[in-house]
Amino acid sequence: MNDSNEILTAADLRKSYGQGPARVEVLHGLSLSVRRGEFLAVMGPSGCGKSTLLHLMGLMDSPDSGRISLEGQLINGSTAQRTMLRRRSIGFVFQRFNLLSELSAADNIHISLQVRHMTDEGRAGELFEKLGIDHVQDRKPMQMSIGEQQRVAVVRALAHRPAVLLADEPTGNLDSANSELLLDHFRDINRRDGQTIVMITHSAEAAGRADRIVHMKDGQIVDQR
Amino acid sequence: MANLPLANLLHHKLRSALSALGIGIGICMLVTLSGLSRGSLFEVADRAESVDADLIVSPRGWGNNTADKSGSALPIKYADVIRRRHGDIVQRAVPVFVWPIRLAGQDHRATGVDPDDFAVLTGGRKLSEGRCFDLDGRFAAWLDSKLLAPAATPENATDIADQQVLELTQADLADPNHDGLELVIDSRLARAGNFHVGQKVHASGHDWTIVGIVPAGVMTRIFLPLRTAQFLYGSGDVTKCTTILLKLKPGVAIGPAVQKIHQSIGHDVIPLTRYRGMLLDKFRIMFVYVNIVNAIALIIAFLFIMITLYTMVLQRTREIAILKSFGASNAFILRQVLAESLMLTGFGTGLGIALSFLAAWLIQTFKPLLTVSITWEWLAIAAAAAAVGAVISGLYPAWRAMRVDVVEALTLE
Repeated sequence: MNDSNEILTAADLRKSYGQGPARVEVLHGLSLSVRRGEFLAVMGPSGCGKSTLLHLMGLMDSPDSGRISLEGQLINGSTAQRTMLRRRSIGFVFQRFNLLSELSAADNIHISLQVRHMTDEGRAGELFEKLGIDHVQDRKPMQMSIGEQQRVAVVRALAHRPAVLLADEPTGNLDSANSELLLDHFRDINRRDGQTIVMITHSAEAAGRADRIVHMKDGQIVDQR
Repeated sequence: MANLPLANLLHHKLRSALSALGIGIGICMLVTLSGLSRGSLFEVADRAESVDADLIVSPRGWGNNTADKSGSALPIKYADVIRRRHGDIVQRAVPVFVWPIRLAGQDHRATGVDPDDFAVLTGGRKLSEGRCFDLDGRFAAWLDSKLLAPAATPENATDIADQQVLELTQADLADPNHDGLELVIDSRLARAGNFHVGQKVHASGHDWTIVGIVPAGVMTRIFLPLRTAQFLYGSGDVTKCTTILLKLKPGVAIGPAVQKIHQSIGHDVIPLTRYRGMLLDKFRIMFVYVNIVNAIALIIAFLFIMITLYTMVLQRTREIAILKSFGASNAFILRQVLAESLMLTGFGTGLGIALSFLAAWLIQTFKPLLTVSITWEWLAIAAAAAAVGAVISGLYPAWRAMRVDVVEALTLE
């Protein structure tokens, strides 16, 4: 928070699930800062708390203790503030894309903008073109390839120009060719547009595209390069 | 602009169609049952109001029951009394004898009237086919001659069992001095029973000849000579009628005329314009019944919507979580679910209204004596009830949708 270049910071985060004897603490006082324009990869074994960290940084959940700040604004825990910031400043790419199956690619983008009280000012069209999926705009998810679906999900996550793009194992369901393509796009968006990206991945190859790699184990950061 | 509720409905076409059909059936029941009950009753009222008269004189105490009473009740001499005492305000006094006669599988209020007064009851409508009954009065004269014939009763008879009873036999009705029992019916009854002029029909224990057909919309569906009605259904007493219809002279105020005639003869005098109100009072319980049935039909239809939307919310927890992950507010989620409910209801209401017109056509085609009146008023009531029902039935599913936990829903993927 002291560094004005830090866009997203998490300090001393603790998060547990369950109650009583079944209570399990997933994050044990984790701290992490993401710089503006940085492409950060978070790696670690299953169950180490990567997704929990991403959900907390994406303001979809709140920590038991600790602080998160986004664009210099401390998150105070109110649902309204988290919803507003999620709407304005966060873009999320899921492993399973999570497109709305009833809507076409273009409408998937439009509904996300509608939720955010924004209108498409040509940004979505640019992204469709940039990601090479201009031809799928009128198709529904079932009519697209896996790679196309994931790129539509990326367009949706970026259409409102978020401060931070959070990606939860975005290549997890893609073949190697589509993974390469997606990571190329991430790299390109990051380099050309200065888009801040935080990506969770199991793949060392995918993580290799990032500026910085953070390794997690048992709810804590154990290494970063 | 992405329309998620519409896209959802179109994505699940069969489910949406079945839900809309469920609502449509409820709306159809509401519109059709209301239209049938009110239509049939108002059609009777319209016919009563078509009579070219202003007042009804009925026996003291009948009041609102006048609308459905029949038989011998009022001495016919009151018609003469009224003509004599109130000739200054009364233009015409028409005694009628009302009795139910079953034709085409249904009871009808048949009206006995003197052929000279027939035009009063038809409101001036001309017969579309045939002629009026007993035009030359031969049957009435023949009947009078029978009734006024010297009694065969022994002079010393004192017991009622010894009195002569005049009974009509087939031989009497075949007497060439008259044309027998004759009826005039209206065109709807003719269509319902496939009746035509000259046809012989058996009704209420007698054989009749249909001699004329009058356009629908007249006071009753069946007319017969007053004297015949009195004799056959008044236990042979030709001195009484059921009610007397009065036509006032032009410019005479109804209220004071009612008072004046009532004070003069002591019997009930009712403006004909109250006939509709009397019928509604009489059948109020039927409307309560119809409204209860309608309410149940609508409640079932909207439970159907609630179950559909609830199932939809449960099935689409992940989609709702995705919307919330974008930052969708509870108000946005609520709007989406309610919009889906309202659209489903809109389709269902449209379908229900179309089904109502179809049902009305089928009812009136296969049961021509029934009237289904579909009015803008009732269509608006049905649409409003549907909209309210849609909102209410969408609230619980919407509340469930708002409570979807984003992380839980997305983690369970």
